[in-house]
Amino acid sequence: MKRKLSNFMQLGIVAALGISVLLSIFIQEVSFPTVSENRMEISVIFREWNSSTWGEIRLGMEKAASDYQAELRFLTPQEANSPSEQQHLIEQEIKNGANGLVVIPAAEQVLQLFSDNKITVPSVTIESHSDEQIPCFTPDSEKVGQLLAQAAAEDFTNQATALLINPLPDNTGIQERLESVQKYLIEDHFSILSATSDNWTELLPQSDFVILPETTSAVWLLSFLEEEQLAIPLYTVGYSQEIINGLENESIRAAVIWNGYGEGYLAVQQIASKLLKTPPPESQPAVILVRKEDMYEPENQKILFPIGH
Amino acid sequence: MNRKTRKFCFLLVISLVILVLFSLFAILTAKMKKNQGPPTLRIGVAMYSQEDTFIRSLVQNFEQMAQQRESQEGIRININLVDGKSSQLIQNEQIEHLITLDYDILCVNIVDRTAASTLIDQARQAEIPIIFFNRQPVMEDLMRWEYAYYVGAPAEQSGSLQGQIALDLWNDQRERIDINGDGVLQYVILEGEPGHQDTLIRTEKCIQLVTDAGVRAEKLISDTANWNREQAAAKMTSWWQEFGSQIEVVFANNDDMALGVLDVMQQLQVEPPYPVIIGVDATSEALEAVANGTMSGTVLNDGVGIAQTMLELSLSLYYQQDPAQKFTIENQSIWLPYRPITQKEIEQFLTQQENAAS
Amino acid sequence: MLFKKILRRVRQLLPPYHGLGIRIMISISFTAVTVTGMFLLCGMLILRFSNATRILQRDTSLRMIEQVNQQMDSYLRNIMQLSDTIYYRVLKESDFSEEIPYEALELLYEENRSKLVSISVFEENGSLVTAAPIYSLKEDVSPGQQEWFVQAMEQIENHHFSTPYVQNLFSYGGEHRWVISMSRYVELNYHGETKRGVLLIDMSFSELGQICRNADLPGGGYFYITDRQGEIIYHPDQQLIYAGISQNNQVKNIPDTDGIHQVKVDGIPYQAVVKTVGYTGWKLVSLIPLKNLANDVDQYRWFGITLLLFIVFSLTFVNMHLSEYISGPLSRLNQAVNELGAGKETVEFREEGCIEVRQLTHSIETMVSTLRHLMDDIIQQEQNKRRLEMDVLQAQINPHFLYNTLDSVIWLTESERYEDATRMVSALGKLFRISLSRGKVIIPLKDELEHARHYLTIQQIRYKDRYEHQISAEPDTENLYTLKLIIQPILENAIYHGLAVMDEDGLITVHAWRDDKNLYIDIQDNGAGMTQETVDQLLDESKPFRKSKGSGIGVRNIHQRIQLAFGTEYGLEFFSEPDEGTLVRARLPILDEQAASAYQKEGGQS
Repeated sequence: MKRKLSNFMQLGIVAALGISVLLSIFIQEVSFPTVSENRMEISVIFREWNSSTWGEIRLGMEKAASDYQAELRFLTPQEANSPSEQQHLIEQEIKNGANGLVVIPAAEQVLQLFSDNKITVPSVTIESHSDEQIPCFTPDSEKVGQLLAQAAAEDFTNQATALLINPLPDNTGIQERLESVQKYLIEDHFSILSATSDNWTELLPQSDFVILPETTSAVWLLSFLEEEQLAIPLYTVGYSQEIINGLENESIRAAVIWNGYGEGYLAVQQIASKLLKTPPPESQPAVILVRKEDMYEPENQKILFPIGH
Repeated sequence: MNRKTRKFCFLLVISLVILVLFSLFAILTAKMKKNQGPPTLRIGVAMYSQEDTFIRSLVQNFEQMAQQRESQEGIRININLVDGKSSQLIQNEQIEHLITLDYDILCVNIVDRTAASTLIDQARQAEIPIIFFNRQPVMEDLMRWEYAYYVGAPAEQSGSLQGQIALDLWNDQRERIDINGDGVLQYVILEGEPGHQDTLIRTEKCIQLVTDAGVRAEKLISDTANWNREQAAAKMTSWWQEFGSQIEVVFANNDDMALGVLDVMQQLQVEPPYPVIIGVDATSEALEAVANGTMSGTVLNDGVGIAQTMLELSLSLYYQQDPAQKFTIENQSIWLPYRPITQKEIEQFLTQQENAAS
Repeated sequence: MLFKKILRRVRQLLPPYHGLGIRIMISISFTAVTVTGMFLLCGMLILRFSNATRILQRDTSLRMIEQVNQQMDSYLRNIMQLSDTIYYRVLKESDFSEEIPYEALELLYEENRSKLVSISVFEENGSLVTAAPIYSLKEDVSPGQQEWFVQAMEQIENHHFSTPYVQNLFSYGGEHRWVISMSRYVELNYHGETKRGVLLIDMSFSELGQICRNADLPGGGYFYITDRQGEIIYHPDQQLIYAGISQNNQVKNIPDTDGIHQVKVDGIPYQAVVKTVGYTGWKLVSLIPLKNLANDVDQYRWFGITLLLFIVFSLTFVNMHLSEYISGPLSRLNQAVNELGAGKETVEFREEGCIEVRQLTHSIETMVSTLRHLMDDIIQQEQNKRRLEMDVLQAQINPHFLYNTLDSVIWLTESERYEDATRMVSALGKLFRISLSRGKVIIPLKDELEHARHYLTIQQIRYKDRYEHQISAEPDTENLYTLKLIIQPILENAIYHGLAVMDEDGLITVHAWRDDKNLYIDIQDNGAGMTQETVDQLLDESKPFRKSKGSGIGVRNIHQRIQLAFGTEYGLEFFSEPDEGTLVRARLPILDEQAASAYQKEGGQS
């Protein structure tokens, strides 16, 4: 009987050892996956594609992706700023197993997806805030509006008439900036004309300056103004090459600038750190107001011009 | 004793079985994770330089097309773009990295066309098909491996088509071109970056075709302007001061420099007709200039076609189909020739583009 | 002390050493030794490995930083040489009032095109003299205000290197290039009149970065460069730092002095190597995370654990098997021997295991079979002894004898010979008491003679004194012992065979005497006697036992009993002549009390 017991004990010891060997192999198998497994796929959904407007953001995202070994999928609706198409893209990406989403929402409709809890993966928005707890990397709209209004107030007396153009009425981010501009301009007693992409040409002659806080349309407006040889001072936002050139030749009086590279980097870093369960970044891109005179100030240079490596 | 041995053997067998089961389990879970969602075609795209607008728009087209194909094919196409920053060293590193990331297809816009053999060898070792585009590697290198392809135009064609445009004009409108009427074509060349392969090829080929056709040609001067509009303008200003209307034809290695020449003409308020100005690339501004007759012609590199072909080729390689069924492959290359665009072709071309866009 | 204490503790915990079986001992000790060995080996390897890696890492970073430093140095030297060439070969030899040496500048620029953005020369008032490649100065810039210009004018003997900035003098076709400037004071010759000026060489920032980027540091390490004030010149994450995202804490933390430092950046320990680049005072810093191989090391560690476990597993397996192979046959042999000891009749021995154990088994088997034979013999002898004794005892209470005696008593009583009757009964009683002798086999010679006497008394009375008897013993035999009941059967024989034929004058003598070795008891009668033939047959076991009258106990019984008890040199001897009488001599060993009790014990035990 005793002998039998000791035999069983021996068997038990050998079995336990054998199992522990296998377990350790298994743990290795699980915790040290090869490169092809365990890759994060983050889908980035633009509202439109324009390499001069979004190129820097994209570079920043790519940098973050390579830092965090994530793979990015850049998607753009066929029709620029189409919310339905964007919605479709988002849903499809989630269905297809994207690990994270970066969305530059075209309209409130898209943001609705976030508040409807349809987004099951870590996500980040750029430009437009969602009401929910979704991080958003964009300069504070209030601040942007304030800076733009302040710039205009420096250049014009309050008898002047401002034309606020909203090229994308559904886009909440742009809308918020405009509202903020409006608030501050009213404080400064400017007369204000509000326009959309339909009627701004009619209102243009009546106004002393234009505020358009969206880059792509501002670039388009610039070329329109140049073609029509109109010299209406423009206040806008963004860091694209055209905006910089506009600042340089003073067709843009002042622009609110932030670093798109950093913005893109932060967005992807946020998602990656959420997926990797590391503490998320806390910084936001710095926002500055730039005029031709101070474009080349050392600190402004750093934000304005990408330092290509 | 024997019973005991048998017991131990039994145990050993059980351990082995457990081992096999565990590893199967591990592999399966990994597979499960991976197999979530539709299959993914992962393409690594290496550009020689992001600064090059043509390449940028080509790649942009490629991405757009891929996005459309995704829904058609029911697969996911992940594209990773890397920028070689005009350095073959950087590009080699990037491609090595793409290979370690185990991409399915590599599309390479090679920086230095003579460096293709190392890239092909690397890709071959990793068994990843490699597609060169727009910048043509040396033929011998391409022939090293059956899964190395080139999609694009023959490099020398861009130059010879410039020559062709000049030759046609010489033959058709001799009086307009041969201003001094000496029967000799006086020309200047604005070259791109020194040592750049396109610079070399275009500079040589544009005039070779003219002289081969039996036209006497005289080079007044040539200089490099680094593909740059302003440098070209600066050069042209001094040339114009020196030679004036002796200059009958201006060959520019790209459209930007051609536009720089136009800038000079406008700045100096030269009376049209300007000398014959021929560029390469068919940028939108150049097309405009061709349309309004200030530029005589440009050469179109079919970026859309290259992007399209590259995508289709990638897909058929991914599906392991024989690409020869879809394309005519000659020497591992799919040719998408350059197109000359002069005032004659411009209308047709613009309408074509509009149709394609809509 | 502590060690001893621990050892004692361990010893307390462990089962006592001698209590362990071979199997467990072999298993445990082998496994313990090998596992300890493996642990030591692994530990040493890991230690060695990590030490070697650390040294390698240190060497690598030192070598790399040296390499980068050299490249940086030669790069900067190159630029300074270029500036010397421009100044002394081009600018000094030109007369600016006649011709501006653009061509030469252009040539030099082209030669260094990959490194340079532009070369330009300015007059004292900040106006552009010339630039290569040809760029036009932007309209509203004032180079005279810029830092590089001011510095060059202030310290005219030096080359001045700037931190990276966006060059704002020329429009590079709308591009904004990050450059690092080198500026120096120059003198411009205007027809013999010297004017002050500044030479500006703008280096391409990305080219400088390339030097640092190309150097590969192990494990996610990187290089960066700062100027004397700690302003970043190159950093791999420069763009993020400029965007205000990446913390550039390391720049603040790292000591200025050249050499190797251990620093913490964001809580992660790094090895920092600082090196000052010649002339510019720039600091070249390499940072390598100390735990750079963390993942690799983890992987190695896991692999080591698996390997160790596997080795322990296979060792345990093999050791158990081995110990089983060695101890199994032994313990089975032990079991078999135990069974044998417990009296099991058929015990199977299997020859198995090591050769030594096989031999041992074989020997034990042989021994056991020999033992078994011997034991069989002993049993046989013992049985014989018992039987013979039984026979004697039976003879004692032979109903015939008893009946005859009692008959005689009755008869004596009837014939009123009370005295004789009393004597007879008393003799009978004594006779029985002695023959029982509390079951003892060896009794004093005295008692044996007494027994004979009582018997003869009884017989004498029964046979009406037809014969005489004399019983005597030598004095030196008084305290000797003898096997009981050996005389009486001989007497019986003598009475029934020897004296029966005689009518009177029969005489039986019993005489005990001794020599040095033996005790002799002679029983002599003067009866019929026997032929030599008969005498020979008496003790011959091959001859059928001739059933005699009387108690039926033959002399052979006595002879055998003596021999069984004392050995074959003892026994009965017959000396007989027909018509003369017979002498039966019992030869016995000399037994004093002590020896007798030893025999007694032996008899009692068996």
